[in-house]
Formats: sequence, C-alpha cells, structure tokens
Amino acid sequence: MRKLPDWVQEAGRVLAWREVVPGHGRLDVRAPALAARARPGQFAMVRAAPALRGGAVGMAPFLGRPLSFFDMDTTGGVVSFLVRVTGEGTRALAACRPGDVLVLLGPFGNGFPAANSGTLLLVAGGVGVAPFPPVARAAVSAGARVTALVGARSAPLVLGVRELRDAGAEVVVCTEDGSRGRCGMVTDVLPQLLDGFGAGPSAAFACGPPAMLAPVARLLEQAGLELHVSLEARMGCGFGVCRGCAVPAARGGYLHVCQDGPVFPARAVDLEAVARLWGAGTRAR
Amino acid sequence: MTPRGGADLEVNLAGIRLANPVLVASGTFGYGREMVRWFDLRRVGGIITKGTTLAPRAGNPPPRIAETPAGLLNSIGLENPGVDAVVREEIPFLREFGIPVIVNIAGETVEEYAALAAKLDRVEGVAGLEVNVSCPNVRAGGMAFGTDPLATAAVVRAVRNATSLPVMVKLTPNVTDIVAIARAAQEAGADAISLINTLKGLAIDVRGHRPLLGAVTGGLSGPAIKPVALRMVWEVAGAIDVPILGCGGIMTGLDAVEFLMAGASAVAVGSATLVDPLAAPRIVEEIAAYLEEEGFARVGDLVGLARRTLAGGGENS
Ligand SMILES: Cc1cc2nc3c(=O)[nH]c(=O)nc-3n(C[C@H](O)[C@H](O)[C@H](O)COP(=O)(O)OP(=O)(O)OC[C@H]3O[C@@H](n4cnc5c(N)ncnc54)[C@H](O)[C@@H]3O)c2cc1C
Ligand SMILES: Cc1cc2nc3c(=O)[nH]c(=O)nc-3n(C[C@H](O)[C@H](O)[C@H](O)COP(=O)(O)O)c2cc1C
Ligand code: FES
Repeated sequence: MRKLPDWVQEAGRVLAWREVVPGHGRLDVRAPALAARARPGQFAMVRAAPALRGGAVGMAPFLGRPLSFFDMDTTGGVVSFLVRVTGEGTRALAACRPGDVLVLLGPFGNGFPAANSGTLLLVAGGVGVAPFPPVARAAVSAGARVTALVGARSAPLVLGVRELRDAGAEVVVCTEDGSRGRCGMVTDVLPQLLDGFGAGPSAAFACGPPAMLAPVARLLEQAGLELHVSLEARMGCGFGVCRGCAVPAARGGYLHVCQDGPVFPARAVDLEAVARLWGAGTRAR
Repeated sequence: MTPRGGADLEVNLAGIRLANPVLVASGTFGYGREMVRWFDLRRVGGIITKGTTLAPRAGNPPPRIAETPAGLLNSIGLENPGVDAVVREEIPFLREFGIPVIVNIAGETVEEYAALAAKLDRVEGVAGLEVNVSCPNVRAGGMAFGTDPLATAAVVRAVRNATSLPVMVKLTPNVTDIVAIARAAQEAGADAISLINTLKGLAIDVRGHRPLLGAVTGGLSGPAIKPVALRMVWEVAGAIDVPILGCGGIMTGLDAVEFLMAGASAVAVGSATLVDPLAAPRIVEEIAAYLEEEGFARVGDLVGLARRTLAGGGENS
C-alpha cells in the first residue's frame, strides 16, 4: 500500500460549534484526510476560509491558528477541537455554523510518546486538557492505566472530564476556589496525588499555562519521573519554514514548537523562561 | 515546464533561466526541506533560501510573530545554520531538483558579505545570490546598509568582486527615496534588484501593556504591503535598466500579474506560503490561466505592460 502523504491541506466542513463552558467550545469538522493521519498530541493550523470573510483573501485572520486534536474519528472522518475563545481568530471559529468551510493544515508536530504499560499521569490546566482525550484513549487501549488531574479556576470552567472518562481515564478534578473537586491549583493537588500512587506513575504528560508547567516539572522531577509537556508559541506557518515558533531551550538557543514539539521532554526546555515570555500578556487559562 | 495552456512562462532573470516567473521569497520556504512534503519543487521557477550568515545564528527572542490586518509582523532575526552548514547540507539537497537556487546572504560588515559571496561562488547548485541589505530584524548590518546609497554600493561592489554569480540586491522599503538606492546598487554592479523586504512595524500587547514582539519591532509582510511594493517596483523600473524581482503581498496569480505589469521580470511569493503552502505553484497556474484567457503568448509580454499602456505605446498588441 502506498504510504499516505503525512501532511495535508484540507477544506473541512464544520459540523458543529457547541459552547461547552463559558468562553470555550467544541468544534467538530469533517476533514477525513486529516482525521486519518492525526496522532495524539499533534495539532492542525485552522483558518476560516477566505470565502467566509467577505471574499477578501488575506484579511484578518490572516494566519492559521494552531489547535490540538481533541478528538479524531478516523472512520467518520471527523476531527474535533476544544477551543478557548481568546481573540479574533478563535472568535471567527466560534461564529461558525454547520456547513461553513475551514481550511485545515496538518497534522503537525511530534505528538506524545506512546504509553502502553504501567500508569500514565496526565496533568491539565484549563484548556490545556485539549490534547489529552486521544492520548488517554491510545494509552488505555494499549494496556496502560491513565489518571488525569484536571485543574480549572472554578466549577463552571472545568473542561474535558467527560471525554477523558469516555477514553477510559480516571479523572481527579481540582478548582482554585474549591467549587468542584479538590481545592487548589494542580500544583497544590499533585503532591497528594503522587503520594497516593503506590508504585508511582510510569510516565507523565502536562499541558496548560506556562506558569503551571515549570512547577509541575519540578514536582515530577523530585518524584523521579520524566515529564513531557505540550507547549504553545505564536506561529507563522506550523510546518517549519518561518522559524517563528521559537522557545528557549534548556541548553541555550531555541527549539521550535511546530517541529521539535509541541510535545517536549520537560528538561529540554527552559520552562521558567517560557513562563516569563508568556507571563505578562497571557491571562491564565 | 508549461503547466497548462500554450503560453510561454519562461523568463530570464539576470542570466538565471527560470521555467516560470514565480520564485519563493527568502525566509518563507526555509531551505526547501519541509516544502517537498507539500509539492514537487520543480513546479516553481526557483528557490530563494532563508537568509544565510557567515556564522550560525539562533535568532531573536520570542514571541517572533504577530498577526496584523492583512499580514503579519515577524522578528525572526535571521535564524540560520550558517553558510558552511548550508553549503554542506542544504544546497546538495536542493540541487537534486534541478531548479535555480538563489542564496539570500546577510552580513554585519562589508567584509562579511564578500566572504559569504566567495564561499558560495562555484558551489554546484547555486544559481545566484540575493544580497539582503534590508533585514529590519538584526542589530548590526542588515537594513543599515540598505538605507544608504553609499553603503549599499559598498556591499554590492564587494560582493561583485568576490563572485562570478549573478548578484541580485534586495532592498528595503524603509527609505525615503528607493530610486536613489536602486541606482546606487545598479551602478555598483548589481545584475538585478529585488523589491521589497518587509516594512518596519510595531504591535502592542494591550493585555500585557508592552510590545508584543520579543524584539519590540518587526517586519510587516503580506497583502497589507502590496500597494507599497508595487509602487516601488514602478518607480525603480522607470529609473534603472537591470531586471526587477517583485515581492510583497502576492497571494494570487493576478497579484503577480500586477507586479509584472508594473515592471518586474519575475516575482517572489513570501507570506502566502505560510498560510497556503501550495501558494507558489498555484500562482504559477493562475498566471498561465491569465495568459491564456487574455491571449498573451509569453509571460514576458506582461513585463512593464502597464507602463507602456500609460505611455500610449503598448495596448494589448
Ligand atoms: C501547538 C498548539 C496547540 C494549541 N492548542 C490549543 C487548543 O487545543 N485549544 C485552544 O483553545 N488553544 C490552543 N492553542 C492556543 C491557540 O492557538 C491560541 O489561543 C489562538 O491562536 C489565539 O488566537 P486568537 O486569534 O483567538 O487570539 P489573538 O490573541 O487575537 O491572536 C493573535 C495572534 O496571536 C496568536 N496567539 C495568541 N495566543 C496564542 C497562544 N496562546 N498560543 C499560540 N498563539 C497564540 C494567534 O495565533 C494569532 O497569530 C494552541 C497553541 C499551540 C501552539
Ligand atoms: C517569517 C519571515 C522571514 C523572512 N526572512 C527573510 C530573510 O531571511 N531574508 C530576506 O531577505 N527576507 C526575509 N523575509 C522577507 C520576505 O522574503 C519578503 O521580502 C517579504 O515578506 C515581503 O513579501 P510577502 O509580503 O510576500 O511576504 C522574511 C519574511 C517573513 C514573513
Ligand atoms: S511556526 Fe513556522 S517554523 Fe514553526
């Protein structure tokens, strides 16, 4: 059989945009070529088609928006995204109606390593939960146990719990105001969770605001575990040609989120510097 | 290769034979490695590589990209592996496609430009040089040369003396009088002029209360700059004799046709590739379709056509 070209450009038809919690929605798009290729932890560049924007090619949003695969249904040819409405590009996605056309490029990035035995720990902050349901499903079907710690500011903002449970994960929720699940940030709850693990998890993945990733990495390093983190960066292209998506590497210089990531071993990246760079401008997710 | 219809797409740019007039602009195509996953590189007229410096460069601190209306700001800062690695690893890869490869070079001093040109002279697979005196994103060199006719001329002369390759000079729009700079480049021995690099710009992060880009300012590209680029091509084409490579906001075949009619002999597609990786080969097809629809036999018939029409000399003959 001929190998599928691994990257595709596809005009996807919107099946649904549904608000799941205030300011966040699930976007389902029929994009069979992408759905057939996407692996857990990878992302797509998503752009409202020019025709939808009054016919003017190149009007804002000009660039695609990187979004992680929240679900991919290979047989149905559907990819789904969990989107936090942040600015113009994601607002355009939230305004989509069934039948609208989006241009999708992907799948890009290296995804999470396969976890097929032992216990996998997932740590998610806010919309950072987005890449995890496919990760959990793959790990569970390969024979691993999955525990997911899902953090949010308060109960109405907790995301992804149903999808993670459907994928076979055990889910622990925490909220900063204690309105649902355990009280505190994921970094407060994580030590208790690690204590309760017995033999301890065999792998750990985290995704969330940069300010969360650095302390999570420290906690897991103390527990003797290698953490993989999924990072964000402003992207020009998503496929390696513009060099726009640089993040500071632990050994100096830069790594590129679209090619070297978005998933990195936590120790490869200078997470403190990443947090500083994103700090001031980005509201907590 | 004629993609469709019968029109002849071939052009000659300063002695470099291009099968069609569409090049890919520096910095938006890497060294082609990622792009071969999207299309057969032989579908474009040629490749202009990422800006290459003598020593490797890590580039500027992030964030390096900001979206703007109809375009983007970038402050990549010439991240590249250095000329030796490019000669060793990237050129041999690109050579396999048999299409012209033009290496975009940037130095911090006149001597560095000359050294780069000398290193690339006689490298098999390099068809020409694009001398970048116009990068707005580096502290030393870069645009500083391209904003002064004497400094531009000094760089061009040094490069001219260091190589027998065709030398194209890429100018910055961040000047009051583009014609003066272009003339200086031509007089110093440039075989072609490449117009334009990005316009220096700024974006503020209103939530963070600070400039959005890590390097504070960046270079504006995309459809937003097309009218400026066209105007500069028009002005320079009226003042010099060497061919012009037009670039700036080209998204479609008709955008490219505008540049050709303003006086460019070929075009380069930049930011369009970032949002549509198939943009450059699509634009080749669209130019071919235009020629067919309008009954032009050769793409060369378009070059400077709007100038001739204005002068009353060259109605669609
Ligand atoms: C690999 C990757 C995966 C992502 N997955 C998801 C996901 O599954 N769900 C989700 O809600 N968000 C995700 N993001 C973040 C998402 O891309 C941004 O929130 C979004 O681009 C913001 O666009 P906007 O037009 O709404 O906001 P604006 O603020 O108007 O955006 C302006 C520009 O900044 C860029 N930008 C702004 N914030 C970010 C950010 N946090 N990360 C990267 N670029 C940004 C935009 O792409 C755009 O170029 C991911 C980012 C990356 C890099
Ligand atoms: C991300 C990015 C990187 C660029 N890097 C270079 C470079 O290394 N050297 C150079 O001469 N021009 C560079 N440019 C400028 C482009 O080659 C081109 O001149 C400019 O973007 C205008 O064309 P466009 O509007 O079609 O993008 C870069 C542009 C972008 C967007
Ligand atoms: S986003 Fe263009 S290189 Fe990563």
